[in-house]
Amino acid sequence: MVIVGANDVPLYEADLSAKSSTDAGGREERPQYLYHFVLHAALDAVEEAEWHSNAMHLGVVDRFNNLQVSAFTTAAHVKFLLLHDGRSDDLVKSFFRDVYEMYLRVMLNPFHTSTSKITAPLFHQKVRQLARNYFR
Amino acid sequence: MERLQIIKAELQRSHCPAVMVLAHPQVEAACNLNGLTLAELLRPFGVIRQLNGTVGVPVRTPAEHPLRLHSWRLRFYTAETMFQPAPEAADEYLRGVLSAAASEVAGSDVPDLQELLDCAARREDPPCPWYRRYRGEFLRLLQFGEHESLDHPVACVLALPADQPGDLPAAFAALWRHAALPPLMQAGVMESAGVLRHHVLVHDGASQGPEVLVAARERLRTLAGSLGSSCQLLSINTGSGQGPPPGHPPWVDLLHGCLPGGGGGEAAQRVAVPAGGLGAWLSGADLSSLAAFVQELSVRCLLPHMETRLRALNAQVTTNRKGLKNQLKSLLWRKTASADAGSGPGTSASGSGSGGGAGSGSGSGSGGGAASSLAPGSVECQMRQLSDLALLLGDYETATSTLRLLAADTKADRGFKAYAGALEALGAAAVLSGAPPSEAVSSYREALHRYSQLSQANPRNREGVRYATRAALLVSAYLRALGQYGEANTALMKAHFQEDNLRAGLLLEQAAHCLLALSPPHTRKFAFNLVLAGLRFDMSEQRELSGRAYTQVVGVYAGRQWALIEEHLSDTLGRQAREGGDATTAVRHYMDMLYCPHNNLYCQNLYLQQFMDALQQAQAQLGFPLVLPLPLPQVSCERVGLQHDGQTCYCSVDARQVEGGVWAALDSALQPTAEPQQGGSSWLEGGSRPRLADGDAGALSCCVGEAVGVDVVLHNPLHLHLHTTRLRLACTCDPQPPAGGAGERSAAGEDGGQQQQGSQQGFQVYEESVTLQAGERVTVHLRVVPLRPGTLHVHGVAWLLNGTAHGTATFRTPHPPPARRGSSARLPADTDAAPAPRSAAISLAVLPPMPRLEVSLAGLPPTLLAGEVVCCSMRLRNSGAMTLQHLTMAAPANAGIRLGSGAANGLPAAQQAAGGGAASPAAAQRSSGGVAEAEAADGNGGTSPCPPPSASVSASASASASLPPHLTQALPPPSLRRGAAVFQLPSVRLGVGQEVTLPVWYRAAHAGATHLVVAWRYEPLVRLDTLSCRTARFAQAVQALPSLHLSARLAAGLAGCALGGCLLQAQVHNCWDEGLQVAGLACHSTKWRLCQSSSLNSAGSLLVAPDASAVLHRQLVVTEGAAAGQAQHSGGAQAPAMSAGEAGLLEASRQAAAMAPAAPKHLQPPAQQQQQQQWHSPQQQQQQRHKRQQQDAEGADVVVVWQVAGRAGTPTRRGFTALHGQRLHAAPPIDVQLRGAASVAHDFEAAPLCMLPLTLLLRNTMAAPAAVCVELGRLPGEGGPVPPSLPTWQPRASPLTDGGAATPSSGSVLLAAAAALPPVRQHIWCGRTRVTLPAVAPGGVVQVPLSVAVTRPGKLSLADCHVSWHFAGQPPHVSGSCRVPAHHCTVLAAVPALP
Repeated sequence: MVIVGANDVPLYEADLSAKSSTDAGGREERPQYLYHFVLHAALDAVEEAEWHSNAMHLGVVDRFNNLQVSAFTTAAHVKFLLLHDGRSDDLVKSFFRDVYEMYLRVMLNPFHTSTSKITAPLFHQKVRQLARNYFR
Repeated sequence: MERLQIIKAELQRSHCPAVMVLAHPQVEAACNLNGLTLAELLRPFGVIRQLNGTVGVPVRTPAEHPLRLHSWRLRFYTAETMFQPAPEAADEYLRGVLSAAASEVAGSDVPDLQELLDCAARREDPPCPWYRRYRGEFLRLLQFGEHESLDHPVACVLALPADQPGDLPAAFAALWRHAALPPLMQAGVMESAGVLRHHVLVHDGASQGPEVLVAARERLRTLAGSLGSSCQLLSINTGSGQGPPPGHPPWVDLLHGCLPGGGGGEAAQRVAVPAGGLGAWLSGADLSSLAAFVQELSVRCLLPHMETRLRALNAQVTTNRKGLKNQLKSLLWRKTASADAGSGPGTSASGSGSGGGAGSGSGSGSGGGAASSLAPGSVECQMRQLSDLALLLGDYETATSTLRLLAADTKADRGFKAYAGALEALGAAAVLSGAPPSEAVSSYREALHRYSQLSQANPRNREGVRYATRAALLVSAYLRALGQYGEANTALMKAHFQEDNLRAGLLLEQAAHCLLALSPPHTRKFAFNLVLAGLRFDMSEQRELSGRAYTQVVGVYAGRQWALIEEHLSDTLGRQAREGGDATTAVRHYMDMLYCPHNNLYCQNLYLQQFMDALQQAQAQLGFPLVLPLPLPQVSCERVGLQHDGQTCYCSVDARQVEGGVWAALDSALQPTAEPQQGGSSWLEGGSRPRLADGDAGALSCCVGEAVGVDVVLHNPLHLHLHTTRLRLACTCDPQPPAGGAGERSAAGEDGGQQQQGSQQGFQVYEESVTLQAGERVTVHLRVVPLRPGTLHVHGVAWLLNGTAHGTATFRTPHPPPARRGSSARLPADTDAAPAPRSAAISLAVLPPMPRLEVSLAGLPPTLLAGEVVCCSMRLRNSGAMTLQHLTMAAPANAGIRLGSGAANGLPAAQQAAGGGAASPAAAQRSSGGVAEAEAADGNGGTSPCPPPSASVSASASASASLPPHLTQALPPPSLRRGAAVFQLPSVRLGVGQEVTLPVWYRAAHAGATHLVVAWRYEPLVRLDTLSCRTARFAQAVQALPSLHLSARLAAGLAGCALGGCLLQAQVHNCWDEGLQVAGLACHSTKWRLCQSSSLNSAGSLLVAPDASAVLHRQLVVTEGAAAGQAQHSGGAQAPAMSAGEAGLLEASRQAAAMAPAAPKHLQPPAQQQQQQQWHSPQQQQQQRHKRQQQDAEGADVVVVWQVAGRAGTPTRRGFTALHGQRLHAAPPIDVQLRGAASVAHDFEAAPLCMLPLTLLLRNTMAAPAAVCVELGRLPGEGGPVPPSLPTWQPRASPLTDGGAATPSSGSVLLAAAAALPPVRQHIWCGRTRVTLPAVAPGGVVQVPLSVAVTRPGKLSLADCHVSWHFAGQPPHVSGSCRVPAHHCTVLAAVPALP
């Protein structure tokens, strides 16, 4: 999952897959490159989908092979992107809504700006918990 | 539309009749003289611009629609080359084509993203010449497929030499029979019976004479009788062999590459090109005859033949397939037939036989698709031939209807290859006929899908993938021509999944460029697709194309902070550059990967190692070390700490922590006031005076020989250790230019070179080494010492990483704000909100050698008690290059710092006074300030609180002989100037290397962290224009612990107080952890002194335990000379012994308390600053300041001297706590109280006046008899009380205007008095309104009966009673008055009883 701010700068990145905690070492992270490329490329589709929908949840906006990219955009055009292998859109929507609430709490921090990276461990922990609740 | 026409033209070029050429070897030999075969010789003449002049040739279509051909095109192929090459050979050939095309653009610049966007906006083809070449060759090699008859020959040119002996018809038949026919024709897939055979006799003008030509004409005439009109004579090689005639056709453009096995219309090996070039033996007549030959062939033979054949095929198809009966038959019987697995008449398993020929190998790859191909002679095959012939003739209507029928049949038969082929042709027919685009697009898409299914069903069958790619290329080109770039991207992306790496890369690249043409352009997806293309190119070893693809997308991802993406790009580009031998480029790409804190240790180590390897390789290639802007370790280039000593020198680390405002205030105080003004006297001209705090705006300076330090923060973001050696500043130096000439410029540190030594460089840099642990952040102090005047530029930092990589970092500090010369500033980082211009270097003006004063302090503990007096020694040393003089020291006035002097220091003031020696300046100041009295503590009187410091000048060995005699004398008293105490040593002169030690008394008044702050000012012996004086700043952090808390109250009027005196109540609380012994209590005032014979408890040697409190009482009596304003100091055996330092500190404390509001802002407590800023204007502050100073002068200072009850052998720690400006809380010496009834009922009807009896109680609280006068009925504001000592004391009747009443002697008088009363008065005092009591005994109580008459009912407040007193005993004479507290009474109107 990636939260992308202005100028396509990622504010938060998280690998929510089950294997993310295992450190394979070496160059076993090759798919990670692909995931980031797919997510970054999906930003074009997200911006196109923003013009066609009034909702914050944009659904599946892009596909690559068997990977799907679901998007959620805020009023400030901060984009939540989730790369998955075909999860239910309702689950993804609920997941995005909960993540958005946590994101708002982060933004309430007066020392956090809209371009700051989210590095709070608690936020990361809660996102992972949400992913576990919704997708497993 | 232009692009659409191009697409149509391209399709027309590929949809034209193919003519097979079978030539006798002798004819081929004759043609080979020109470097061509017969087919190649005829190929340029296949383009017929005008058929039959401008009239054209009418064609009868099966539907009898009028059709007229105006231009036509024929494709000539040698018979043996009309087959599809093997896929492996074709791929190998195509790889070579792509490599050749890529090598041609190897040196060209890679277009950036903006150029690509501009190109896409102009609707131009992307700059990919390699793609166009590959596409053309790829489509060519896919000709002659078995499932389509578009490339099957419709005619065959049989060529025999003109001198062919024997029977010509037999010779032509033998030629057909023995020639190498196309493999598909040999297999029966390609129609041979319906091919038009055109017979040609070729006369070789180079080897045969004219007689042969004449004979050939005769034989041809005979031959035409038997073979019909399709016989011609062709004459070639009548030229000179030197070269083709001008205007020759472009053979070169029509010659394609040769494959090892041949195929695709080209032979396996090309004929050698003669010296004269292609067509060297051809003459103009030859070219004309060739053109006439092709024209004759087209118009007279081929067109009628195709027309006839088209109609015949249409008749067959109509008979067998069209009509209601045939459709029903097909509908009912086709399923059964298709269930026979292609053995039925509709479809047949031509299998490998369809591929045919030996060496062609086309059938080997057909595999499962063979079952889907068309069986020769079948209705489907005839339908395909019919549709293809219709396409070749331009009868698109017939073609479309037939192809639709064929598609339906083949789909029902599950012959997907034939079905896909039919759809592909249907798409082409739609494009050529100008049908709606959706029709063509849907046909092409379906073809793409069906071709792809062939490989999905059988992965080993790659033939379907290639045809799918062809369909994708065709439809994408058509969609791009229509402007539907998104659809084109989809088609290309769909085709690339099953393709091999090379073609997938090409398809992805084109798909990416389609995204740029969208509106708005999808640059991010373009970048992703191009990265995928680069990956495929890289996997197919096309490094040039891969590198171009990656390079083009770098700009899309740069600065977006997608770390993994940037890492992948750098890794790939670096590896490709390294494999390509460009180690320098590889180093730069690998360098970008070094900053990867998100990676694990393995990756970080790997990246660092590959960078080091590439760097070593690059350095070996270049022959010199590369200096790179290494990202490791991270250097804080935007925020560096610059330490330089220009006019101001910092002598301690703590001095840099002190707020700059403090130093500014001290510098202001150090400014000499007696300096003659060079300008005018007005404040406007004062700015022109050289001031200490001023300097060149924004200029930094330093002196020769004095180090300039830069604090640089290094950070290791990785999980591994970094060894940084040779860490140094990168500097350049501009020497002071001589008059009229520019100075040289020398540099160091940028070339990764060695430490610079010697004066020729103008400076000397010092190298440091540091090993950064994982994640460690360190601050390194780097130094450079200028060696000669000029300008020193500090550009950045240079270092050597892990012994291999030379790194450098350039400072990016914003331009510093205008600052004082010599100030130490931490240059802040630039913020986004205020983009300040950045300077590339820090420039310092290097001044000539100057004296430099080093200040150090010894004996000051880091922790002491609040109020503790500490004596320490300050060491001054001149470490500069010149003698200094005119030493002046400034310290904040409230900081508790006193500078002692030579022999006069360290001795207690009492001893000095007893011995008759010269009192210390501090003591003298204290005397003039009016220290009233001090009471000594037991046993400690006269002892020094701390050992006297070594108040002597300890010069260095070389300078010890010249001991300044003036330092043995007393220092002049400090002067208060702008909130600071200024000590001057005007006659001290320190030579180079000399030092002097001075005693310093220090006392921290309040608990908490503070600094001992001192600023020294001195001047060089030889005054320079650039720097007339310098200052040295010294500070040392001190932590003051809470000790003895003191609160005091001066109360007068209490019982037992002496006349005019008061009682001092001092409450102390020990806040420290150990016991404190109160050594004495003193009160310094100009009005009072401690009573010698006080009967209150004594505080001598009072030990206050930790967290305990005690209250001390002292009686204060009036000082004898107080009335005259004289301050007296009465010492005595009981006065606490305060050393000179303590006394000086006490005086300093008092002065600081007195002038605290007038001190500069930075020398005041923060709370006071805030209060002044918020509530008071400057005028009000000035008034309050004067008022407060006056009150403080009248107030008393309460001082408690204490010492720590230390153990034996440990030095005694002494101190004092003082409260300044305590004011008197006075009470009246005569207590007065008015008593009476609180409520009275009176019948006013019976008696108009109600008489109330009252009693006035008086008590003398003083110890002397007092004369008291009571005065009644005087309203406020009617004049002050009359002192009882005046003659008016005598009893007398008050005048009526005063409101007083007459003596109540009788009732008539009362009536008269009532008549004279003002109507507003509710009450009237009766009887005597002025009572005098001549002598009230000390402590005595006197009752005075009074009476008041009330005129009406209501509440009565009796407040108009005053008392005056006068103590007329021994001086002082005390007088005073007060108002008697009011008495309240309620008078009720009584109701008379009923009769």
